[in-house]
Amino acid sequence: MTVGATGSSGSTKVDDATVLELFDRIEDDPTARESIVVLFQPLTEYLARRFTGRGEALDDLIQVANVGLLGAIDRFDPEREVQFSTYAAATIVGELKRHFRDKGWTIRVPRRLQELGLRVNRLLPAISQELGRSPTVTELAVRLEVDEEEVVDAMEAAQVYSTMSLDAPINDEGGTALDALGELDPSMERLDEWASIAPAIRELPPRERHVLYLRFFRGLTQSEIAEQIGVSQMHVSRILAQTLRLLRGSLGPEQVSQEGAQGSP
Amino acid sequence: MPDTNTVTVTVPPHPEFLHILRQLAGGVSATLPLTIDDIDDLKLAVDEAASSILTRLQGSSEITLALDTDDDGLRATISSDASIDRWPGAELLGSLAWKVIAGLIPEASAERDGNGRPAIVLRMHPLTSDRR
Repeated sequence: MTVGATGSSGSTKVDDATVLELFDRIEDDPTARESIVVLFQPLTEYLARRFTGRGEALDDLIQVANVGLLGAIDRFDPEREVQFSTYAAATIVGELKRHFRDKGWTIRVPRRLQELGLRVNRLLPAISQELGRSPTVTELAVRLEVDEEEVVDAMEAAQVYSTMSLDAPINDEGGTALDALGELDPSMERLDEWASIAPAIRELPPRERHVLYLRFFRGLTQSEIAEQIGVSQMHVSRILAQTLRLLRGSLGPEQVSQEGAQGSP
Repeated sequence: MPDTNTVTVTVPPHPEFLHILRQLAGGVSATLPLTIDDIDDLKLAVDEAASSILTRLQGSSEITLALDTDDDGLRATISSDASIDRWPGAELLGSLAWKVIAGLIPEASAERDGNGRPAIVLRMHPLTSDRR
């Protein structure tokens, strides 16, 4: 019997008996596992493609899908009634969904919230200048004539737009943050202390390093940084959140400083 | 005497649940006269604090965020039922995570909560924009 390993859109067929035969040998023959991986590449690619358009490169998604496939191979029980292709598809989709969920990204931001997010973005520089500080949620809600809850939702939604947009203009101002930074950057020198704890800082793109420097060494607020580098406050917020997450991901507990404490603040 | 309201959420000790803490911090802080810069800083710090505890815990089954609000502002307590020796240790206080937390929230401290559980406490006052 054959099953469609690529679902309805593909033409590649994987013979179920072949798969079971490979599972039979998997304990003794390392090539059996690889053969299953190869056989199911069309399936991983097909499923990965279904998650494109959400800000992740296809190659990365295929990698995530393959993690799911490997997990499925490890956990599949040939004795069970279910076919491997069915089991693998469910596991791969689960892995892909988890990938997006782990990043705190929603799958879809409602248009209403996207539009409100843009309105917030447009209003922020003016209202911040007027007040001499960034506004509160209440102040924004009053000015935009919407509920406070809607403002919170819109700002939350703006946080979850894809990382891909970081290098793209996200508002009508045009131009990216990098344009505004010019040749850069005195910040690396100041960040040296941090880099000794987290070497990954050296690998950050200049803009990300510069934003870290402005926030943590110059003590600028997100709104002030936004003004200085010519992007929106929400954009700065995303850059900071993603940069910190990135640094955290590259920092194992064993890598953090074992040296003396600075004392409680 | 100030009226204190407390909102608490407990999540399993896995990274995929931390965004719930972040969102809750954002939602609760938005009810106070805090600027959006303050709110964003708090969300980043809650994320960092919860991750810090998460990576250091031994045998924890939960991470809790308690948000107490009153006229004086907000106190966010991120705690775990893990047994962590020597809390807060030099290892935590010398880490990048701690520099980030302290950089975002000047009134941040690592302590033990009322039940002796390891906790990170972040305090914010309404419109304390002395940065500006």
